[in-house]
Amino acid sequence: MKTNAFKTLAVCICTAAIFMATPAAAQEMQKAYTDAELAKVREWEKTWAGKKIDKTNVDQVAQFMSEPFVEIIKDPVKWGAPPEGYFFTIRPYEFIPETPGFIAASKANAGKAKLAADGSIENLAELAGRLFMDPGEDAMKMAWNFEMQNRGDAYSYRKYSPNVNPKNMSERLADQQYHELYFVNRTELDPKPILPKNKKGYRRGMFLHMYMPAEFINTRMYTLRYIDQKKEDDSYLWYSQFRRIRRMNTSQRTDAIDGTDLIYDDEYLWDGQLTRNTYTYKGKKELLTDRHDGLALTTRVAGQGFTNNMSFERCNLLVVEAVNKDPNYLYGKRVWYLDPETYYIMTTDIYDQQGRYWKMFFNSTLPMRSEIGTMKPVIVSTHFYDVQRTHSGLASSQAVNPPIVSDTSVSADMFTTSYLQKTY
Amino acid sequence: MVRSLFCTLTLVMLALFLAIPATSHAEIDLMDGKLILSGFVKSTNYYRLNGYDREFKTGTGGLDNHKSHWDFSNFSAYIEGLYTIKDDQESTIRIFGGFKAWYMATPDYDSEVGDSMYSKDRRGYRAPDEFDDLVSELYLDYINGPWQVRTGKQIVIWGQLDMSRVADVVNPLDLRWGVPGIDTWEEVKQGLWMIRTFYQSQLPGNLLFEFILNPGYFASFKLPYEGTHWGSESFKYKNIANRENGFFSWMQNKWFKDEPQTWDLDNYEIGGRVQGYTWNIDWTFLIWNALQDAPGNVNVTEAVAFNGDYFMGPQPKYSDYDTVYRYKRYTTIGGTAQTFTNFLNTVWRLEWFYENDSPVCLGLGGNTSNLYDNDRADILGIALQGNWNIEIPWVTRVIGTGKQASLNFTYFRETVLNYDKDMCLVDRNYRQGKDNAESYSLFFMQQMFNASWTLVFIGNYYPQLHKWMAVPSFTYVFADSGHFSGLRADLGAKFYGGGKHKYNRENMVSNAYAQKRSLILRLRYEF
Repeated sequence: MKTNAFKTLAVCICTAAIFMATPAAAQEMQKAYTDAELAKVREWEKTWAGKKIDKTNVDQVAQFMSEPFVEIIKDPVKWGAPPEGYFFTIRPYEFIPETPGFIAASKANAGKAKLAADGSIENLAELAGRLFMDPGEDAMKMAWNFEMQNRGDAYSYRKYSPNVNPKNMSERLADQQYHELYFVNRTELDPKPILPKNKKGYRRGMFLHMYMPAEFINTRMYTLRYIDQKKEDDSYLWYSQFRRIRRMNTSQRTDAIDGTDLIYDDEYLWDGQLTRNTYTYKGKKELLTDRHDGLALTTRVAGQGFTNNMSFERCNLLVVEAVNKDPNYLYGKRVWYLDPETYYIMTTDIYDQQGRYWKMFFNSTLPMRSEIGTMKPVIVSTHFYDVQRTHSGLASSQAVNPPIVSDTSVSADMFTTSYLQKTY
Repeated sequence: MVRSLFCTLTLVMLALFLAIPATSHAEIDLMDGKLILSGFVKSTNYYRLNGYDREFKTGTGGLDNHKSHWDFSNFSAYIEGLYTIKDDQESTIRIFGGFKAWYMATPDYDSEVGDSMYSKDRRGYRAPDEFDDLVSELYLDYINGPWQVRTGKQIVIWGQLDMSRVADVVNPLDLRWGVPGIDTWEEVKQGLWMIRTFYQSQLPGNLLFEFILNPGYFASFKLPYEGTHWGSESFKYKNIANRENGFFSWMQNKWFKDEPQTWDLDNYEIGGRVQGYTWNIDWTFLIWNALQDAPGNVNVTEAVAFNGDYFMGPQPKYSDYDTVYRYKRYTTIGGTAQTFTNFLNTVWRLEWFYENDSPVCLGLGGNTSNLYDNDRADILGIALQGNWNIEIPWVTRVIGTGKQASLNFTYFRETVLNYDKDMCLVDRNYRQGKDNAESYSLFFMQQMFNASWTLVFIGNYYPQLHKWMAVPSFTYVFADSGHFSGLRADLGAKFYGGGKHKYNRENMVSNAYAQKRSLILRLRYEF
């Protein structure tokens, strides 16, 4: 009897020890829906999946759309629509898995992030993957999960960006090749999680080669973000027309990017040091989002503010309000709608300092086969709307060349002034 | 022949535009991307606002050489191509070529402009006169690991400021059709044949070493032709019979005749530069040993005879004179520094140079009319520039649609360390009796209405000479969705002042620009 009790106790202790020693193993990557929730979604999809949505029936799905989005579909002429108006189709929800490398890193690093009161992470350089697999209702943790999305460590894409004035259906083009590289927080490409010889403590590099507008042809630029979350970025521009390397002012992140409705903080719908905002979790919101098809099958003529024939699926998104700590910041607040499966911001609502609705941007994501053969979700397009000025824009990474995920040709050497000066 | 070459080039370019839809790309890819072409076609026109200028009929002195106020109408084109021979993990080999051409139409509708010019000047002014004029750059680029070697004709930019060329010492300028800040470097700089080598080290500060050897190619600084828009006023008194040249043209062509041979080992130029990054400062240090681009030394006896004979007697001949102008060798060291400070949110740029034994002429009181000898001067120059992005209340939000204005302000000062009051320094904007020259420059840019319009203001002021320049201009970018995709239209004006100030008269400073107040009309197609 005593022996059995001893054995039972030993088993319990061992089980507890194993459980405590490997907390990550018990955790899983988040899904947008529980099984019960998903069953309800499937019921709804029986009616709507495959249906074309336009101004005649948009009210019936408006509960899953942001208000400006509904207005764009309902009042297509105002937003530069062709005679047939604007429309999209509904597709069934589908789970988006992360890559095996990202999942493994997430599990290996679960619970290891040393999150300080100011929102910074002390040991950021050592970590990789999704740091908070179950962020609960902690908006700061959700924000870090967004920040740790590394787009396959090295991501190359050609961004074709019409800058649209829907009032007269005119547009001006920007066409730029981007290369992004993570020096730390790497999950896909060796060496992981840190590139060697990174004495200056870079976290991420972004290289940009401009093709349009024509006066900027072959102008190149790179920006380096530091692991130190209090440090400003470093940025250099090689302006081809004047053949000079110019150090750029990186502190004024609220400057509009040439002709667009975006400011420098708006890339990926947030592109700045995370600790510049305070975050508040506002619950969940189901929205129609473009997560699986991108723009490959869409139609669009010049001057359109919205791309026709996109496909949207329901997704239960995390709503996080981000307010900049600078009281004079351009925006009063941003509201992020985070995809809990990829932690991309799928949609953002932006309010001005007077609290009026100002801008709505939404991303399209697409799981793409990376150069190492895994499927990685990446952003392939973004639509931008300034509802106060009735102005819009589109950034498509599929218009010229397909993006390259985990691009092994992107190297740290690209983020040097000597590389900027090379003949393009 | 040159004109037909230009026409052919233009037709080829037009054919390329028609053959290849340019709706989605700013450049033309051929041969599976191995050959990339880009460039522009441009029409630039200036309308002179000086109604009472003596170059016009309304003026006095018999110097008029204009019928029309449209005294500059230039059609120019530039095309550059990059051909990749090899590009793999091991090495890259590419050929880069930049070719330019122009046709100056002014003499076609204003025969007085053409007729007043020296025939050789007129030929070069209207269209490319030599092969070298057509080739802006042409080099073979070889990259292997940390090494890069470029061999051929190249334009090197070592400075970082907008218009000032403080540390930018390698290529001579060609100001016959444009000026820096308004035109591109491909148009206003002359390429030099050279071997240029880079080595990216792994040393602290990421030191990048650059070495340049020009084995003997010489190109002189090209000043604008006399009587043309950018040049000095036509100075050919009608009462001096049988003069082919105006006085300035008479001198300038002698410069060209006296300049070193185009290829000669004695013309060698050599120098290098190191780029680094230390304590949050991007810096460069350079050294350059070369012949002068423009003559800074004269044979005084010959010069007095040469200048004086122009005004008396029968038509003098160049062959009557020995060398008048000399191009001497000297050394420049210099550098640049750039950093960003949160204080005032400023990007700071500093450039400096030190010219050691720079050739200068001596004239009584520093006046070039009274030359008597030559000397050498040690000159130190420093420029400091601040660059700001500015949020202007209401303007940034409503007119700029969120785009902040960009402002650069530059202060420049140079000092002759071994100054002599007889040193002729007028061409460097020195006031008589002063051992230093100063200038302030301003560059302001505001994009408007989602970058469909851009306002640019360029200005400078020389406080010692009270000379100033102000150039506001608006650019309209035609929509890419319409029929005029790729077109840009510029409308602006150029204003100059202070040219008639007493200091300038004392110094015999050219007041060429003081009479050039103009409207600017420009149409560009970029691809």
